[in-house]
Amino acid sequence: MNLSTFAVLSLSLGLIYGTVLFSHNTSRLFSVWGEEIQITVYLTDNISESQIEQIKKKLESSEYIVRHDFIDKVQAAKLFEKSLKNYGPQFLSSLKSEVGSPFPASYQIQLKPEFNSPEKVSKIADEFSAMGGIEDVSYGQEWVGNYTNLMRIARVLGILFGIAIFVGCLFTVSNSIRASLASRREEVEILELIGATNNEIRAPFLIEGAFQGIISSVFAILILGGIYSYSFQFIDGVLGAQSADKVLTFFSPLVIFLMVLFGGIIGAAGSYICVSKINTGWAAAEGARSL
Amino acid sequence: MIKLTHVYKIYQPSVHALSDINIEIQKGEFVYLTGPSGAGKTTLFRLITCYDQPTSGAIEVAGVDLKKIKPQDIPLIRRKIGVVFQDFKLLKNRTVFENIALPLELAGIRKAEITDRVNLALEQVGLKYKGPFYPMHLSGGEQQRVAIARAIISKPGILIADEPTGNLDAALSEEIMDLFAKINAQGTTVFIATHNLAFITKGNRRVLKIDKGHIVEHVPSASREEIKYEIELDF
Repeated sequence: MNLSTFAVLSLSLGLIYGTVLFSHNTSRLFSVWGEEIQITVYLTDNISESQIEQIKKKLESSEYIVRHDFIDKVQAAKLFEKSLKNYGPQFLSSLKSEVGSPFPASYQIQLKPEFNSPEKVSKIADEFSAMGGIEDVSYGQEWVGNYTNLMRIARVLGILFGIAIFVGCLFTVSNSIRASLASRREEVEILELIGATNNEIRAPFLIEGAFQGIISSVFAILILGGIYSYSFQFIDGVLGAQSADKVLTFFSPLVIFLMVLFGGIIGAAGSYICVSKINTGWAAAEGARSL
Repeated sequence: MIKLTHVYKIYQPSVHALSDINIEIQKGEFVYLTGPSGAGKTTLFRLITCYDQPTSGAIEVAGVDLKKIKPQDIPLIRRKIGVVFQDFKLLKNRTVFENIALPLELAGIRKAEITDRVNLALEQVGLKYKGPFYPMHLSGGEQQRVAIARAIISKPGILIADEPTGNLDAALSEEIMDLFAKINAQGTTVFIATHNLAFITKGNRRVLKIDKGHIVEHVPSASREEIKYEIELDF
């Protein structure tokens, strides 16, 4: 096997697999962060009893809610005071003495994990916004919106990037096999001469291509595994409250098997692009041309 | 066994490699094809072995009309024709035994049978103990014998040889031609292109002379003297 082909193919496959790994873990990370999404439904100060009943009824009957907690105006002020006690104690006490608690009563809603996607959270928030007696619904709209857009862009870029590298891999293998075919032209001519069929002649080249793909794939996964293990400790520090063990994963054995298979298929396909021109006299014709 | 009827081969733009070739070679015949370089001998062999298609005319080999043959059936017709070249065309990275065994392997023959048949072929061509050697360790004459053994291993009805003694000295050429005679005596049709006057004029073989794509002389196996005179004048 040609060393430069092996290096280029390993690098290309490593980029594809690296993109898949990055995309998978980013998605998992966002999903874990997504689990912390809470919807806060702020009630108006002049909310009526019937409106409260309607909201309660909806909260209790909704299939997507794990739990909900009512925070009245006083509790809201206390929570605010607790969170900011080191920063502005005078400001908080001045607010209390003049107008009472300025904070609205609210419901804090935690959703079931399967309803934590940005699209679903947004839809649920809209349902509450449409109800009477509700002043505002908050769930980190800006973050969720950015997340959705980011993921969409990342997905499209990932697909385009993957296609470009895939095509590159095909041509890398194809060129390598072309060189191999040229150096073995006489051998192919002899096989044609003694009545070998096209498939019998092509088979060794297809196997060679598949073998190149498989070996390069294994090497790419090993290198990627090394990089993943090495960078794990740094990522762990960046994630803060989230443990990297819980969030990040490497490829499962099944995925590794599929990737090695993918490498083999790319190798065989690249090889086929080149050897498909072999037909019951190709080598002899090439030989005659080169005379 | 081999029949060419009004065969023309024209390469673009207008190179007439073969013109109105009419040949009929019967089963078991031994025929020489002779003529100067560029006369059309190799083109004729390429058409017979399906490496090329005639521009017009009909070619029949072993009862098969080559004009009607499907591309996927070409290897099958080639298995019915043994071919020997001047440059031997042996696989350098395979032993003598493996080179000879190749057609049988492609035909899916059992290993035990392959071993028996290859050993027999090696004995026939006088290379009984050369099986484990690589072609580079053999002399030119021995390599040509390996090529002949490979050509006859599948028991083809036809054996075609394009200048088989071109790279060999007189003594080795004599041996190779004797080998062809033996193979022919066993019933194989032999069609040989050669410049070697000694062989053409010796023995009682039919000779076809080709020049500028035309069969210019057709000497039946009887009269030797005329062809000897004609050929000596040409060469």
